[in-house]
Amino acid sequence: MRRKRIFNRKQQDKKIIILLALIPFVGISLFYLFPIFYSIFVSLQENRGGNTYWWLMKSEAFWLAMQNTLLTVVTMVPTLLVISMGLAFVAEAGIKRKSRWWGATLVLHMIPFIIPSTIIAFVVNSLFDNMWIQSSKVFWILFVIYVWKNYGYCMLILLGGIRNIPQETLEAARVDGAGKARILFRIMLPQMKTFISFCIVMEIVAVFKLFREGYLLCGDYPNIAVYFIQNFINNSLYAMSFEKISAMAVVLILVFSAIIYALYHSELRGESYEA
Amino acid sequence: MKRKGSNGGAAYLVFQIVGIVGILATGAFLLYVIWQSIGMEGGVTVDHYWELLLKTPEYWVFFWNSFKISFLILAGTLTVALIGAFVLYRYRFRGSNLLFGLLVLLMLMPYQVLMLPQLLMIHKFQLFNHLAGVILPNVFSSFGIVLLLQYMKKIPFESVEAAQVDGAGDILIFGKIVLPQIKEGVITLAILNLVDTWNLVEQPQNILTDSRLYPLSISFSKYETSSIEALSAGNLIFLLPIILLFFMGKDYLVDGISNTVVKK
Repeated sequence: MRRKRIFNRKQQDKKIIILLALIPFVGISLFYLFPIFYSIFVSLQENRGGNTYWWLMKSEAFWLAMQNTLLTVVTMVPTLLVISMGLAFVAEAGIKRKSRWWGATLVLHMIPFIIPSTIIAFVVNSLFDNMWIQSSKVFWILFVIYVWKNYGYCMLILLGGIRNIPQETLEAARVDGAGKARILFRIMLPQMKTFISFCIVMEIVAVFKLFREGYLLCGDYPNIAVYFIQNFINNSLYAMSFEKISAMAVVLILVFSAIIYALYHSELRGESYEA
Repeated sequence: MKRKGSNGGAAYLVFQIVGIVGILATGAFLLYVIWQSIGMEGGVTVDHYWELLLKTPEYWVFFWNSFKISFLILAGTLTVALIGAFVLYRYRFRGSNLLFGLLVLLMLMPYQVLMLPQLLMIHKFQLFNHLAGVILPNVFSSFGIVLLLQYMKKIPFESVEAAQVDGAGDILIFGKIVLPQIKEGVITLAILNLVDTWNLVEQPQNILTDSRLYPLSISFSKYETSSIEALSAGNLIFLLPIILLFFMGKDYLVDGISNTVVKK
């Protein structure tokens, strides 16, 4: 009799879990999956999408936005990566030496990450002349904001990566006479590949998030140097060009899918690992 | 023979300086806001604070809106993320990897990509100009599920299987095995989520038209006429809860972020 009861309980639990599981997935479908399919659908409306994508390709604003975004990613992401990497190594050395200084200050590097964009925009606005902000120099302001805001987060990720390297490997290298830290890089960096990939993905996302500071500083029509994809979408929204928005959305979805695929495909197959 | 000091001497020093510069910049930033808010012209005063806190009731309305939005989103996100991540962790099926990839994709999308269709959905549910219109989409953000799944993957699945063999139902497995081991992940998610939602700008701007519903994050752009000092004071108080939260959970946050990536 008792055995039967336990059996029923598990079945019961399973049913509850499945019902509960519907909540997140219904919600995600409603607010995220459906919008994606809707975008794809709308973008394929006129002439099976021919007109829409043709308009998009002919739109100067589109190319400007894509170009700027690409430029931004290509300049900001590697810079941040190098800075965070260096800081991560320094932090790790500091922690290894049980230096209380580094342990305590590690946290402080995360503070810029949590400061709301409105406050950053406010401070920049009051510090810099309006002419500066409307000129193309605002790109460098955004650059500094980007690095300052995100270096703590990336440093911590890479620090996790450094600490993840098995000590035996390092010891073996040292015993084998691996000289300067330079040679250690041949060992440490490859071991950190997954962490670096993850960091790069997060950095790219952070570039897109940078739009918010740019928008708060420059408004709807910023200097052409900082006209981003989101500006394009926003302004298209005001101009009621739904097709353009959908097409742009589809383009971005494809781009992001490609990025994820490129960075994780090898991982997904090789190490049965997902990040 | 152990070598004292580091091997990459110059680079090491450079990055140490970079780190110090970073902290100093942060300090300078915060000090600047504080400095502005206590007034420079007529000497140090806290008048702006009194005026803000006592004579501007709108500020409290906005503050309360921010609070409502952030905490309701947090509650919803934790629920959704815990359930979603647990189900994906516990039950592996054919399309698991693909589903996970989809969730990651959704997580990385900038808001504007899905902004228009999402607004249409919200309009359809008649949640326009309603706080729920801001809250609901954010509750179902896949970031939470992805993050918690990372931490769950570190739990050896054998313990789950053993429990299953011993006759434990899923709820028990969740409560006694999974949940205690992802505490750091949950706290990290909570902090990151709160920080994110406290700072929401685009969504409230697009969805809320009644200014009585505005959260603090977008109320400042409307305050064009105020002085720098008053704005600084307002911004500082806006910043305060987040900083407080941060210092309460900083150890968990640091550990949580360092351990985000799984490596087998």
